[in-house]
Amino acid sequence: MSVTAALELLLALLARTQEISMLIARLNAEGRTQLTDAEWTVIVAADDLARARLQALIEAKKAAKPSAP
Amino acid sequence: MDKIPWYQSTTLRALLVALVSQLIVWTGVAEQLPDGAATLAVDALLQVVAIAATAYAAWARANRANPPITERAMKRQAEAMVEQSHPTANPNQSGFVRASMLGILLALAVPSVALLAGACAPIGVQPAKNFDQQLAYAYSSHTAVLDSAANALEAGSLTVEDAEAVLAMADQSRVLLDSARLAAGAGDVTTAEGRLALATNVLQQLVAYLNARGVK
Repeated sequence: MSVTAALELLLALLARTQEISMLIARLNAEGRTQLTDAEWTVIVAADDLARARLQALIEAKKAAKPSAP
Repeated sequence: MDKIPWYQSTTLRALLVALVSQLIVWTGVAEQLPDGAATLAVDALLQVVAIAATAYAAWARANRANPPITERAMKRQAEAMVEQSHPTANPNQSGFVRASMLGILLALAVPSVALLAGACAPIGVQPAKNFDQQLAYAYSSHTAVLDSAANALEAGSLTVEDAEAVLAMADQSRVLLDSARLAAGAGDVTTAEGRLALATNVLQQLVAYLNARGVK
């Protein structure tokens, strides 16, 4: 893993962690401990979106590859 | 390359902004505000500033010229240049981060974020107070790995075959995360905790895989 790739992963981890951290701060401020279904939907949708993006990129790269004669 | 004063370094200036923002959060200045919503908003803003400044520092370090700031750095840079022109069997890294070490740190960081978020309070991350919140952190780690793999594939630093392998492992991890969530919803805490541990283990293997495949 190159330093750039490792840094990119670290930054992605920090950014995503911060999102959840802010959500938990809101939970604490509202005196709640459990996430609502709507909050879970947002978390799961973000994960689905990231997966869909990776899948689409894989398919695009495969399609762009020149086919063997 | 000539030495520059520290305040002319983009990286150091950005890191200073991040440090000051984080120090303000730690000192609890925002908690003095009478309105709880205002406290949250100020804290969130400061944390966003800290993250953006850190990301900018990393970008600047990777993409801009990096002249030395101290005499020691100048000496190390000269040594590194000599080493590059005359490589030895056991080269001295001369202060440059070893990519493999960073990979190992990340392999440890992924499960730490997922399971040990409670230990992150000193760095401004809200600790997970229960299983539900631990699971939310685990989902966010999973999303971060997918984001990074997509970015690496887009940049051409990850092959299509490796991206497919990452996706397959990430899917395994996601099944375990979903199953942990279902078990927790049904009140089966033991099963839920076991599934979460397995999911983070797969994420850890995923980072190790990327490390071993030498993503560049």
